[in-house]
Amino acid sequence: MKKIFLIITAMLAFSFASKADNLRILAEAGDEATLTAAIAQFEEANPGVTVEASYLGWDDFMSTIKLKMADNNPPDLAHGNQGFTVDGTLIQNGLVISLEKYADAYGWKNLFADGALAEFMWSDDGTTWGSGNLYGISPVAEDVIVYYNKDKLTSLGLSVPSNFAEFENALQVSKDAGELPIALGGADGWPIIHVWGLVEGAFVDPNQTRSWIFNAKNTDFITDDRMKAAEKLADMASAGYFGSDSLGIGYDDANAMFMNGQGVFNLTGTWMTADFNSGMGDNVGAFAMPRASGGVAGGGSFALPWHISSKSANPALAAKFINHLLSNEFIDDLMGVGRVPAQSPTIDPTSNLQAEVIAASNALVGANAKTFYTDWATPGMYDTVTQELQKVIGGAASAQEFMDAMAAESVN
Amino acid sequence: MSTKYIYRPQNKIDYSSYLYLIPAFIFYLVFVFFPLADTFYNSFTEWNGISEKKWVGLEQYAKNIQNKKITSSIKHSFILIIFYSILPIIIGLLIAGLMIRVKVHGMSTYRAILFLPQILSMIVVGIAWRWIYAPKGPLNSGLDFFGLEEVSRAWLGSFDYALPFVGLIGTWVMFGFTMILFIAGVQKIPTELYDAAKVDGAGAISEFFNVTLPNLKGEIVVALVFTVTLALRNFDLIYITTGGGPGTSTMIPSMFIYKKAFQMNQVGSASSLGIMLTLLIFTLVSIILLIFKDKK
Amino acid sequence: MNYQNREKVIAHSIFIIGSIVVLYPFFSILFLALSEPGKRISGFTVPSGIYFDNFVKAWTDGGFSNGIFNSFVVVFGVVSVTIFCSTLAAYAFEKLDIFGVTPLFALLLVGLVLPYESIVISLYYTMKSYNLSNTYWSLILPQIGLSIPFSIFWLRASFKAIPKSLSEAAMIEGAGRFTILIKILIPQMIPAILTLTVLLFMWTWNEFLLALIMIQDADMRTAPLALSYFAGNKRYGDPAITAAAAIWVALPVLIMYVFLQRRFISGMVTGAVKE
Repeated sequence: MKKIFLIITAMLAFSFASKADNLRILAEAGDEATLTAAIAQFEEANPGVTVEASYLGWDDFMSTIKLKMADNNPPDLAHGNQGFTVDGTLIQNGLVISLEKYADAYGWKNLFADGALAEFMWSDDGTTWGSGNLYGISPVAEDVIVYYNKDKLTSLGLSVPSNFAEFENALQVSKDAGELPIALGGADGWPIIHVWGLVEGAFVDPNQTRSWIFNAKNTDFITDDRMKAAEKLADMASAGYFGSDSLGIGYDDANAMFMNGQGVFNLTGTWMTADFNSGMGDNVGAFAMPRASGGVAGGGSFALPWHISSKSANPALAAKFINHLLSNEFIDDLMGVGRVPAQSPTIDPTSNLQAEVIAASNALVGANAKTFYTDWATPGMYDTVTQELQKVIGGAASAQEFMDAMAAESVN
Repeated sequence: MSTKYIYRPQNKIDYSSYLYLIPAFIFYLVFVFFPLADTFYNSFTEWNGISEKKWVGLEQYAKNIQNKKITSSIKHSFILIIFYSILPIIIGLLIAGLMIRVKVHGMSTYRAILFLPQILSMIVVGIAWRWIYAPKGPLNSGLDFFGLEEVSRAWLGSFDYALPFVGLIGTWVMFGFTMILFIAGVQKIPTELYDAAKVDGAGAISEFFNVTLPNLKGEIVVALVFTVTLALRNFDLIYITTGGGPGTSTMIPSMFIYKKAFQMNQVGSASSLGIMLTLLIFTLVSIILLIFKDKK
Repeated sequence: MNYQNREKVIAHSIFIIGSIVVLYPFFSILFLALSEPGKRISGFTVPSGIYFDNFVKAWTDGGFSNGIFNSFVVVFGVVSVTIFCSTLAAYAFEKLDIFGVTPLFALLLVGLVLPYESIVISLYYTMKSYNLSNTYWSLILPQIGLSIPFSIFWLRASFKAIPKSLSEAAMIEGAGRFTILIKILIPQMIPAILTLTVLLFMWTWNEFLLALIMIQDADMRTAPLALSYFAGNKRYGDPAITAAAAIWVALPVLIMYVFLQRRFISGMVTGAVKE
């Protein structure tokens, strides 16, 4: 039988011979506009090179990215996701290469503040995260903040909250006035991670959250502060602040609802800025979530990291493409497609909303308050946290049950 | 030449007839039986799909049994059997019972329509029903139209309703098949049996239980085996409609196998769950066959 | 109204209700797909006009020309090889006196109820180790293996139904096993083989999990896999376009069903009972 296989394999071998001047990219669908611009420029600057990109929606991306990178003929360049759920596994299995060589050659590390790239640093065996070698990089920063409908906030007699109690009050007032307080696409699960990140951030010291994410096995998940946050989220759900159907509404539908005037607040990432801006004009504003004890809290980090496959026939070309994404010349293009470049915090806003978003981002950076995303913590955390948060939102689990399930997954 | 056979070997060492079996068995053994044996072996190991396999004996099975998410996913499968299997069979039997002597014009058209859900990809079926159950989809619009706004909700986003409503999709897929199967079966029952029952003064109900039901035994077994296996497997429909959510309220074993093997890189654990699912299906099928054999 | 008529009315009512229940989801997504692009209909209204724009957009954005081509390649491979192998095997089981058929047949029985969800993991790693994942082979070869048990059962029952007298004359003339199969039995088997072809076509066309696991390249996706990715990519999140995509993917089997529905139904109903 083995012989038959070998013959068939030989017959097919030609189809695996990858062409050296051909770059294959697999990206999460949110980056289609970015890549369309980048590929056109890259192909023009490098005659003879063709770049093929394919895109996967978020759920399909998360459910198949490891399969795709483990394939015998994987894309040269692909998105991963920080943390143990995706990147850790990719590195542990030797599916992506260290970018140190290219980072040195192109000077990528000089673009960012010291320590800023920690979320891309891994030990070569993929077990220790936060230090070691650079395995991925992204040109884009993303923050999780609060967007709000300006007309609604004004007509409810509210102003931008300056602490979490005021934010809660605003939710109650909205609810009493018959408005949907928070537009949430809970059917997809992961958007609730962003809501949780902000509520958690309002109560828990961001340093503690970050150390838990980087080293969940050896850091307590259950603390008094985090318990408070979990109870708060459960209370918010039972108070109806997310509406009654949020678990049946997808992320895009929730955002469409928000843009059509349903929902006073929307707790999501800055990747939505361009869409909200074009959908709502000047009727949308943004602020960083205020903490219970003053200051701001926020999730977020760099956008999805780019990785080079260990089976790529031409890693140098892939690195050259990454460098194009990170280059100064490409910054305007990033802005043009509504992304926030990670390397230059002093950009000129092109709209009122963007000005407010940049202010919120700067506040988060200034307070060192970015807490990444909960799902990065362990290989199984993405599944666990999305499922458990859905239970909290749907009233199927108490705050205590949520905390216990999360603590169990932390040490798994 | 008294047997049904065209060829029989002239002596004991004539194995030439086996040549006819070889192509089919090569495919079957290499692509079905070997993977099954391999899965069985992997189920006793801890393996992430890349590094060395580590023999752990029955540990994966023990972990699965203790894992509440897995035991509840098996429970969900049994609930789905009610919708995929029991409900369509009851509907099919009731209708077949009513149709004993009725010759319906246009039967072939009805049959073609009722059978339609069977031929479609579950991905297509799932997309259609996802739309019907959507918060602003036809079902809720219909309820609102009749003034039942209180009832309408995001069906697949509800911890209480997601599982039964996924189940109802299964009922929709299956009930036409069971109806056609049983109506075809009823028509093969000799009318004398019914006439005899009439003479004995049997009413419609006793006629159903004494004549129709026993004579449909073969068809019932077929329907049970077919629908129960589908209810326990069922990956495509769950994948496209709920992905196992909200929470884990519609999670089923085959979904877990996929997640464990290809998202969490727990190949050993996924394999043991695969073997458990296989054994569960074999056991249920055997029980079905045994029950109906004994009654004879 | 006499007794007979009343029963007929009841029967028709039941069938009509059943038909409506079956057809409602079809028309629901058909209306959705034919609705005005961008205008989200509520689902409980008849569309104001007929627009084919969603179909065009789904076809061009979703890569369905590729997907449908790939599906046809896989279907062709699976159906032709399965029919060939199963015909030979079923013939041997039914018409040739072979020592030890019972255990061999029992072995096939396992494949008939085996949930292939549990063996795909091993299939994936095996295919990958032979460099075959992400190729047509990774879809065709396993599906041949999985289709063979049912096909042999189905064809064996059909061989059984052929009267012995047909082959007797040829046997007396000294025709060999293979000649009898080709010249005498196969012509009798054409309807059964055709029905089996229809069933295998449908099952292979609709297969999803194997493609989800084996196929990583966008160009290699089968139609249902392309549909799933298309529906999952929120960029095309408009339900009307997704509905149109679903109809594209269902269309080849639907067209076949319109012409050959008797074979589909008799194949599955009698095929099931014969087992």
